[in-house]
Amino acid sequence: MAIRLLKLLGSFIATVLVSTVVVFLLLRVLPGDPATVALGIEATTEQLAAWREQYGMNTPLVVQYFEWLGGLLRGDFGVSYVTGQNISPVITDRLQVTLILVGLAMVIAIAVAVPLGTIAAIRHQRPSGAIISGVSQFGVAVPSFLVGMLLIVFFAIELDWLPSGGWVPPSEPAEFLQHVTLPVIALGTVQASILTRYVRSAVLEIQREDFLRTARSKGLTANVALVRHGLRNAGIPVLTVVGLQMAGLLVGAVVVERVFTIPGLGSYLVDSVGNRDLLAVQAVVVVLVIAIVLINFLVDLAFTLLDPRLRRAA
Amino acid sequence: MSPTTRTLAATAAVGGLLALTACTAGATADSASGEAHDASVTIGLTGEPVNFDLTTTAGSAIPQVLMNNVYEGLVALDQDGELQPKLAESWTVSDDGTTYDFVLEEGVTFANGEEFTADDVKFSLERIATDWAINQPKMALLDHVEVVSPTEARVVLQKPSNIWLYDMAGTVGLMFDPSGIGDLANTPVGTGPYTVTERVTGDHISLAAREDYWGEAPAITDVDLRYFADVVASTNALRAGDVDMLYNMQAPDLIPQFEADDELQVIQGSSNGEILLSLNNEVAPFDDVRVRQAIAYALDRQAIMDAAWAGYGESIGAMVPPTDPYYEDLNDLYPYDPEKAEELLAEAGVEGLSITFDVPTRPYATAVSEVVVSQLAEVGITATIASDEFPAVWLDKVFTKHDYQMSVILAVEARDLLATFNNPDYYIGYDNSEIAPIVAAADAGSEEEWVEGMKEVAEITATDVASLPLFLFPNIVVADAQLGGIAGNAVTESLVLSGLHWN
Repeated sequence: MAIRLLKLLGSFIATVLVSTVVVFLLLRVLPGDPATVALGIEATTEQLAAWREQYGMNTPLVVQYFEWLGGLLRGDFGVSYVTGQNISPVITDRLQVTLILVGLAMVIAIAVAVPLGTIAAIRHQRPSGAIISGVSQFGVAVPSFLVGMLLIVFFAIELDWLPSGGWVPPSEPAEFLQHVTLPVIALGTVQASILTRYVRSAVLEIQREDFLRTARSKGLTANVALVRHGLRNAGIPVLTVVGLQMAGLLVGAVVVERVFTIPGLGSYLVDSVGNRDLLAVQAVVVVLVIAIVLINFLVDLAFTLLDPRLRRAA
Repeated sequence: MSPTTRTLAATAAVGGLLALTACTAGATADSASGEAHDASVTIGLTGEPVNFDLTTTAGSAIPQVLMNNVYEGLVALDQDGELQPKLAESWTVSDDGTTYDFVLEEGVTFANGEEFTADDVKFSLERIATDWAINQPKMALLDHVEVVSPTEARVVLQKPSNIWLYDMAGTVGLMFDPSGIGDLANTPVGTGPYTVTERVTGDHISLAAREDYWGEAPAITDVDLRYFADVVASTNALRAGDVDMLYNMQAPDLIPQFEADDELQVIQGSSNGEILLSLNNEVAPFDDVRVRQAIAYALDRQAIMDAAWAGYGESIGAMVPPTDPYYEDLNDLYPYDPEKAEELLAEAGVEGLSITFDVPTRPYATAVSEVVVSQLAEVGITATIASDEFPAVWLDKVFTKHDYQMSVILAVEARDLLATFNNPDYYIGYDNSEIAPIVAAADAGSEEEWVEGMKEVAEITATDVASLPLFLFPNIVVADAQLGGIAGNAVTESLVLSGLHWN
């Protein structure tokens, strides 16, 4: 187990390092001059030069890279030359917002998808199963921003039950819940539809396995056999998808963040790219890489819990 | 609300922006003004300030919030574009036009408690040349400031200027306190009626009225400015009653729906923003005045305004909005005449012309470009659209490197006729040696001479089609019908809050 952890740690560090080089270089070849974006159309050549000097953009790229990397190792993302703010606290705030949003959406997705997908698989030859299957197929096709807009039209404008957007931190629970409900539903329903499809096919697959037939032949009913022996096995492909969904949502939530004007990590990334706030973009990408590697690690860990064979192999 | 209208609203959302206009009046805001109002207002805006330092950061987002609200100048422009006293209760100008004696208001304090005196005038104006990263040219002719007494400041210019005092009503004229500039990016300290109390990036900025404000206390004590990246999200917030006002709304298609709603008011204010079809005078084919004139004849500007911006806006024939003192109606200089355009193209020997059209990624630009392309096609010009990310790529490629033939941009700067055409190194590349002497004489002359001179420049550049202003961009404000005192004319970048009140 220790060796396995060391290996994981090694590949983790390597992944992050490579990603820092890639994002640093990519941003340097991106068209658009940060100085012009910051100072605007009335700036003179001297002012632009002075600005570049002030933010160390005249030093060689290698020096810039290692200065940035040095800061990263100290946990310091630097000061944004666009906003004049320290980037680290902004990232913490934004990441917290996105994690809450994505976390709640995935909880809803799993809570809905696991029972519905299982039912759809068990009753796949009956109308109820077909209906679930059809609805989820439809849900997969609907983009989450559209669900968001529809929710706003009904619950914020027509019924005036909930606010149309904005964000309040969880420290004010009542306000927080009001603001978070619609975006979480918008993200969650679409993810639930996708996940339902995977749960259904995983359970269908499992039902054809020999060990389930054996369980049945021991006298267990179909449902009990499935719950005792099947679901755990069906969990492995489903977990993989959940991991992918979470990783995708960290940035993918941006479309819903835009509709509900929520200051999440994806919005920060998009705004920073637009402002050519290179340090902020670099910081977000590094955080995302770390988050995604972590998610993969957790999924790996969960596999080990679900499947004893993996434990022995390790 | 009946189920039918609800379904209609849902359908509208599915159809997106355009279909929303089909929504009936009854389906819109039902809570925007239902309850009693306290002394607070929530305003929806686009284009969030990246920081609060308007001395080093360009763009209109920062002055929109801070100018006249948090910071004040010696003078300010009123809603008709006329200069009015602010921190200076009066002023006199010497006969040679180089010395301005300002008498300052007494009992004015900055938000940090410091008193506002003539020393601050000297500090603020003289600091521009050394510490500002932008807009320095506007104060370049300042010689020095004398502190005559705590309430009297004498500003001496190197030469007389008709534009200087007007510029003083903009950001360069704002007053700072030496002890209040420690953290301009995050903590602005001014003499204005409001202070910034909270800023959550990506969400909102909160302002609160100062109790020790020297002037008339504003009726609205708490203002929340909420920023929307998405125009539909902002209109949804208005319809849901989450914001009371949308300022500079960028979805003209939605206006008829708001106009039909009794609980909302729509104000079409003026602005200084010209939608300018930029023609690169330095490169073929636009180095030939006949080709530029052909473009002017080929385009039906009224039709462009109708199609691209739902007819909202104002026709202009030159780079001068009607609110400027030297405005002259030049709309009929180049009437829509495609045949004449074709003749001019033939004369210039460029039939079957193909050009690249650099379009910044902004709603107005995308909307305008499609109409322009189809109208140009009718006179045999093939314009291929190249989309440039705005601001970063457009500024780099078109504005800095001049690597373009034709582009379209909203030129928001006030009184930008000279900046645009009296500088051969500018991205337009219009080089006409006739203009500079007229400008010099006008700026040094009397006010009448200045107006006449500027009119002449406007007419020369319009006749030459140095570039083609398509129409004047409207400042559209949609607000709760009970909200009064809205400053709808965008005479400067500033959104003036102090007059707002609930009726």
